[in-house]
Amino acid sequence: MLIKTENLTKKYKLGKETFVALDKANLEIEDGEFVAIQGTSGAGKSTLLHILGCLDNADDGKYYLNGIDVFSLNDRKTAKLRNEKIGFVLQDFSLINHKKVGFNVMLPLYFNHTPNRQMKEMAHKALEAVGIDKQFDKKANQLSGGQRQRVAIARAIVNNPSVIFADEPTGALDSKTSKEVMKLFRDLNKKGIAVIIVTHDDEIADCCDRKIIINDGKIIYDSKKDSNYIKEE
Amino acid sequence: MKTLKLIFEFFTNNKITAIIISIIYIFVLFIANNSFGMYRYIVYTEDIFKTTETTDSFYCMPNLVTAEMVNSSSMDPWGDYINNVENNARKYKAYVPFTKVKYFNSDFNGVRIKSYIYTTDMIEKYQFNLKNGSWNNMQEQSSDYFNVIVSGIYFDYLNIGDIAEIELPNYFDSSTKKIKIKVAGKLAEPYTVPSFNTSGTDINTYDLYQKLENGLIFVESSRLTKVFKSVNNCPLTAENFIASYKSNSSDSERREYLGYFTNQFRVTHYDDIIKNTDEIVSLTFKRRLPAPLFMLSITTVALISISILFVNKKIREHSIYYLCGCNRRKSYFIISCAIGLMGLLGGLLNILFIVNYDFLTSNGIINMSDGLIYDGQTVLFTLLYALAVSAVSVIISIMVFRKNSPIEIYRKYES
Repeated sequence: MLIKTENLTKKYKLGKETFVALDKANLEIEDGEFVAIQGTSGAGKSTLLHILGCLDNADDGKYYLNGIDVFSLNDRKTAKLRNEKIGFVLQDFSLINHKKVGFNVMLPLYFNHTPNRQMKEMAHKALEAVGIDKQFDKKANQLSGGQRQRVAIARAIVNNPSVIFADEPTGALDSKTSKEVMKLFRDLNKKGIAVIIVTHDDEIADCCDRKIIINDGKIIYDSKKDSNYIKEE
Repeated sequence: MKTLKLIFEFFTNNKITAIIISIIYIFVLFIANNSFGMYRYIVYTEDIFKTTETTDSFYCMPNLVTAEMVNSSSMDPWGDYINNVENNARKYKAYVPFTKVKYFNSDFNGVRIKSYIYTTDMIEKYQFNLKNGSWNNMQEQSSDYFNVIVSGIYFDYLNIGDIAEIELPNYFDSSTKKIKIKVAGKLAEPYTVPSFNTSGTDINTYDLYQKLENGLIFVESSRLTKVFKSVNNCPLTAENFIASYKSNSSDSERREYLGYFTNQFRVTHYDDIIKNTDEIVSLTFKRRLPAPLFMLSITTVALISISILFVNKKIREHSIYYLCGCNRRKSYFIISCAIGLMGLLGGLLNILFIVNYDFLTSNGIINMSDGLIYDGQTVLFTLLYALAVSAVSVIISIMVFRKNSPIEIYRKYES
């Protein structure tokens, strides 16, 4: 089992009131799955993604990644897990725009024990996998939106992660480029990397094998378990 | 290496600002050290004077150059003149021997050096501070060499007991005579010795002494005089000297004695020298120190402000590092090193300069005021100041950095 959550809960304090962003979410995702987490704005999808991606902690519940109890780890070990097992692709690409493509892709390798002489080689491999190896020496801000997202994907896979979390990865792209990016995700998934995409877009969600719908912090539908869900018009 | 690269990455897009503020900081710290060094030196000379002289002393400067001296065929005209004055002064009841300074130039390994000759009484009076060796070694008698105290970094490579040679020039032809010297001791910093080479009004203690950065100290002896004669050479006597009243002399005897000098010399009494020095110290304190201290304060505040600015500019980048597996502590470390570097660099470069100051001045690489103290205290002040500035910059910068978690930054950029 790649990901398992038990009663995952996250609350935010807004003045005197408490807002429940995630309410006892139970989730199981196997290795190599291609999952879409869908929901309207404020449903809790990004909150879930941040917790699954070890970027944030939950207030209650358990989270196991590859059998490791994530919440029992300290900051250093969580960062190590994030570095080795997880890749991120975000809507705004999250690249260091004034640095070269090569540097951006190698960034995860700066935080582990990859020898310096191997870093460039691994970055080239990752860029080849996403089809833009020739852009290695260009600055990130010289690329188009689609190319930047490919760079972000290359960075996400450079360490051979177990899972890629993508938060609205096509949000800033046109439809043609979005399709290309989704095809990339599919290709990576075929190689055995689990891909979990957070999106509000039905078309994007339809590209995935499994759909999970969140509403008001609760998982209300999981296509793996529940085939009787009828979407409200 | 990787972390080092990320530390230097901190300055990308901030390079020019970082370089400018660092240069300003280095320069301002240098000026502050320089001003403080001058102030300390004047106070130091005042301390020497108060320790070696008493209220019975007065500094004599020739009032005019007589035709007799100008036409003198003596190799040491001032020496002869002052000896004559002293011979006549002996008849006065308030007389005690003058404090005079003799000096000469010679060559050491092809470099022109200055040497001073002091009497045994003078050496006992001044108690020059030695960093190595002993004044007792100067008592050793030998017909082969002269015991000397070496002064300055130029002689650092010599050990106590080493024998070297200097060359005395012949006044009448280009020949030289080599004489052997033996290192009896090494003068301690700030290598300050009486020179009495300044005349004028408002004499203060700064005027009476000089830094002997590359030179030797000899004890006066008849054997030394013979050596000079043998090569048609002669040490020169400084035209100024210190005379004193005998401690048990009466007021009338003192008046009479003083009257002897005031006919032919300008006389500045001990009390006036101290008064003039206190004025200079006060002036230095009021004029020289406030501006550098003010500039240092402003630059320090600027450094801290720029550090905060840099951190704010880099928060987004570090949130991306976090995404890629960098833990918060590593981010703190990278930021601390980068910010700390800006604060420490100025201090370290200044310390490097202070430590090599003697080498740079004695080899003529730089030419700065003689009256400066750069010593261990200066190094300590500079180091502590740089550490304090770095620490404050780092602490404030980390506090600013910690205000936003990576999640808050992502949400901010998402919106």
